[in-house]
Amino acid sequence: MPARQAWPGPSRLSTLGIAVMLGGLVLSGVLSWTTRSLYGNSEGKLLLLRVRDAGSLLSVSLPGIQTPLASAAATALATNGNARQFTSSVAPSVGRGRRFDSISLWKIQAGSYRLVAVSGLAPHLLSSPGRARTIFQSAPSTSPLRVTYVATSQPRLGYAITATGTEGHYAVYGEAALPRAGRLQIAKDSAFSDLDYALYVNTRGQSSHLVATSVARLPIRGESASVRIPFGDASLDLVMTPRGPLVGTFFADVPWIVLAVGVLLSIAAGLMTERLVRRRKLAENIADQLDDVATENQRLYDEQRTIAETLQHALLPQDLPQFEGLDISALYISGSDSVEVGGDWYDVLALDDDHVLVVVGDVSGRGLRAATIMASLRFATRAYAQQGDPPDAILAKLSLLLDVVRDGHFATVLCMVVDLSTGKVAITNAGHPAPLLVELRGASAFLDTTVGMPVGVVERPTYAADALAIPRDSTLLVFTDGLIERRGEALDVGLQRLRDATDVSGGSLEEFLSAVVGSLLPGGAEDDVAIVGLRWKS
Amino acid sequence: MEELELERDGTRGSVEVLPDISGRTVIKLSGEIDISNAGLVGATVGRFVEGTSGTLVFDLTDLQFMDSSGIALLLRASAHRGGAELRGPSPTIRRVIEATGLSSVLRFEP
Repeated sequence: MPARQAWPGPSRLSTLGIAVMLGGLVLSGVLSWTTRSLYGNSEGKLLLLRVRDAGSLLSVSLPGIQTPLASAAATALATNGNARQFTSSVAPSVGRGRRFDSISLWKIQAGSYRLVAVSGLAPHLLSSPGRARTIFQSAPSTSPLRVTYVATSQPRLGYAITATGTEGHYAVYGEAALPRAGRLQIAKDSAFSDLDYALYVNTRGQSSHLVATSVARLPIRGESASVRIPFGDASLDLVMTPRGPLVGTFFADVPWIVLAVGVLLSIAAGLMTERLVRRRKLAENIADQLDDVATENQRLYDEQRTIAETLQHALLPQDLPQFEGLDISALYISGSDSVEVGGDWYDVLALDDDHVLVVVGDVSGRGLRAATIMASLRFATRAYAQQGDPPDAILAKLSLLLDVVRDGHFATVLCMVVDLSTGKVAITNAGHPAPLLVELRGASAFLDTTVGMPVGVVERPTYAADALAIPRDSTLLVFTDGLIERRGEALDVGLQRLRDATDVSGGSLEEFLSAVVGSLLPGGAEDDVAIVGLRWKS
Repeated sequence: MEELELERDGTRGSVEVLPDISGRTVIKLSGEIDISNAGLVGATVGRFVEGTSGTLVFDLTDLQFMDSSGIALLLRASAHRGGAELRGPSPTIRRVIEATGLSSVLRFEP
């Protein structure tokens, strides 16, 4: 048997496995990217909402700046610039830890301005006359509150509100220092503690200035959102950026989790596919090997069968003698499902010019032992016939050669001596199926033979000698039971089937035998079959 | 009662010894007997027959099929008893025994 590699190579991945893995990886990448952009999108929206919230909160706190100043201006107008009353009205808003570092009252008349009273520190505006002129004399805008940025070593914001009376008008000016270096952290317990921010003020005629921020380096980079809040005649720009993921760290990690799980699943799927591919290959290899075994078995079977058939044919006559006035033909068909040699035989022997021995026999069972018994019976029959014994004597002598107790087999034998000159046949039947006589017109009948004991059953059987006359142009079929017997079927059914099969006309004896066998055993014989045909010519 | 199931190559047969008060040896063969199991059935029958005496009876009531190997084993087992009686053979088996000229050795039980 050819040696075969049962296992596929150990390390090479199959194309299918690699394809599945790559497909999985691409899919994971796409999923991860989609998740990430969805997350980014929602993160951006959420940030904008938060910044608007913060802006709203901031704008709500802005009146806290305007109100004390407006109130002080109204008081000044009402008291005609009374310094003491002004000071006491603004005192709660001025000082360390309060909203303003200083609030001052100014009288503005005919394009000049004069400091009337100060609460708290001296306003830095004093050191910047140009700025003071701008803030006090600028055209009134939609908002009464004017905002200015005072750039000193520590920057400040200045706020002014003007109250206009009949005898000139008053301006209240407050100043508040901005956080040192602009840094101011959002309180840890605030709702916005997860955001960094930068707040800028845009005042009229000035560029944008930083008010406060929670970060060390500006400008803010990365994901950010901003909102502009009106503040007097100025505006505030609030720029915010998330310190971390707003939706929660889990959601920020989702794309990476998707990617990691996807990669793992892809590798697992690839390996699983690889495993299946290898198993399939293994199964195919095993199937191939089974095929090989089956082929080898078939070969051995065929070989055995060939041996059996060769032996069988060696034990049977190679050529049949030919006679004037009598056609003789024979067929032997091996059983389809057996590798063993069978025990059926036939023989034709010219005894003298007028006499022909025709024998068909069947040793029970199969195998080499049955075949050797068959051979010894066949040659013994020839010997006895040559000595001139008639069929009944031949079979009686054969019984001395075979013992079913000793040999395990018995034999049915039909022995005939045909007299060519008279057309008469001497027949002795030892337990064998009777021959069928088929007349020219197709009418048929089994010969009425006396059925004696099979050979090998009892030690000294007695056999009858039947003498029958065969009509001219008739055909006599002598056969073994394999031709007619079917398992589980009554014997007479098979006998009738044979009679039906012989109801054909024309053709040579060989063609007739072939037609009968072909009709009775279309799929080959189950058991061995020997059949001899004799046809008397007119 | 002794019984043996015999199966080979899908052919199934069984052998059992039936009790009998008249002193006969009754062996029941069931199923099918052909060349594939005849050796086993024959050996079993031989073992059952050994050491018994009196008339040998083969009960074939439940035997569906028997080929020439089966007949050979019946002949073998009954040779030293001068034959045997067959009980309840099917018409097919009965016809085969008759056609083979064996009904004087393998007699049908009256």
